[in-house]
Amino acid sequence: MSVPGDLGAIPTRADVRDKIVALIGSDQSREEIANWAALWVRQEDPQIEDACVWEALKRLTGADLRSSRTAYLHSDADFVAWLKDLGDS
Amino acid sequence: MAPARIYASSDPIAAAGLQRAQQALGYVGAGILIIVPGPEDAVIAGAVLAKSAVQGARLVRHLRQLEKYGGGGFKELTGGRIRYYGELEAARNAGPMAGRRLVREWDPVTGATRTWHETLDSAGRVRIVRPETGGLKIHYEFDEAGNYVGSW
Repeated sequence: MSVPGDLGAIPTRADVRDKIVALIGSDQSREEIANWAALWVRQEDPQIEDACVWEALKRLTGADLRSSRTAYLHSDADFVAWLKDLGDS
Repeated sequence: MAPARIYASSDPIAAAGLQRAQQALGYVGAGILIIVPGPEDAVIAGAVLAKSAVQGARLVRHLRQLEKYGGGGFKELTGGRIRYYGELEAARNAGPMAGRRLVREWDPVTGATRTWHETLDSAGRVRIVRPETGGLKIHYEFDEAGNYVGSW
């Protein structure tokens, strides 16, 4: 299913899992992934009904947060935990 | 906090509608909100009934945002705006910072929303705020007393 505008298809569990894996493997920058997730999280009424996907999107939105000028808030250990929470579903 | 579930009806609160609402409440169980826009306010066993279509729509939107953004609760601000707090997302190697939460603010009058992240220290104080605007990402830092320190 897709939504109006240029957001594309509504993310699935496979999509968010891929993004977390990409974070862990540094295949995509934190900023790119956080920006992608934020497109959904900033929506006035996000049409994402899968609670697991929604929780993952909220987490991914903050993947590039910094705890100081030079350090990220989240580490790979967090990303691994997010992946584990997502499970095999 | 358990997520809110919504049963919505556009029927007015006539006697028949009220009866249906009561039946529906009994069907879906306690703790579930039922919204029936109608001419009168009513509260029945935890069911919230809005008195107009506008109020009903606002209530639905409030509950929707509570479900999506308010896992850590919400509060009403002066002027009627509502702020929804997400649960703390722990950060494992963040030094003095315990983690962050997503915050959504909604103005029911204008419909405007804004969203930001708050990074909290181990004492639960908000130390960094980063608005999610879709533009430049700026972190606003505050000291332990809540004084603005700078941004990057």
